[in-house]
Amino acid sequence: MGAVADQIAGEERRTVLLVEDDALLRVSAADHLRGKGYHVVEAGTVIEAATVLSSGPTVHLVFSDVDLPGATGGLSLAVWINAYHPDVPVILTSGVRAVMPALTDQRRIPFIPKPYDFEKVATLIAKVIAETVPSKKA
Amino acid sequence: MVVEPAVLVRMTVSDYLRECGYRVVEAITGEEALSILGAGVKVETILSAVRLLGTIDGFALAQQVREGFGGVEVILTTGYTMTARKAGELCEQGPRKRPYHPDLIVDRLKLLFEKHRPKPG
Repeated sequence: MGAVADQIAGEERRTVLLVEDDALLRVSAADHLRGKGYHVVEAGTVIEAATVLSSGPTVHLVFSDVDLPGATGGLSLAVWINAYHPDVPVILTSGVRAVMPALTDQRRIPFIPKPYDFEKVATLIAKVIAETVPSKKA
Repeated sequence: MVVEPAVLVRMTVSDYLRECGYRVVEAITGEEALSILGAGVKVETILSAVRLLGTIDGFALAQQVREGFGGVEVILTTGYTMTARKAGELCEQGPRKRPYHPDLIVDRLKLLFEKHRPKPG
């Protein structure tokens, strides 16, 4: 049992919305997070993610790729979530490192560059959820 | 593997099958399903909607799976009620006891769709 699984044990299961258009990466990352005890909802587009947030189960964290198909990407999704679901923390990822300073500095969105280590992602998710979920900020 | 273009249906049916003890891989399109199979992810059964986004529909997917990935069973469905029923049948044969009646998948989906529908006025 890893630290993350220990942290989750005994608590209600946390739901992570994973937004990734690369099917293989999505399947692998989702598998890894399910292995850590998370309930993982998979979305391939911003529209799917917004649909889940609007009507699906309570989402405790969104982990999204920045580069997604369609007119809107992960950054727009993060801005939308911040406006309409302000209690839901977002972590972004991208293979393009140039977007990183813009994200972390201006919007204070946690960012993890691609390719990422699944274990590091799980640790960051646990950290962000721990910081956000118990303190239900207004 | 659940191949389904509607995220709420895919999520609900996949979660149900996971509760039945299956390891479930989710694909949004036929192209995704084939790329996942092509990468060597072990799949025994595919539960796929006939109507899919992209250029491969359920029938084409079934044919390509038969040709390229012998031994993988493909179950095609039309409409989420049928998807739920087929998931229920799979669950009966599954490793774990059925967590709840598949009709509840349909009820749950109706509830989710209702919540998602924009409020009138």
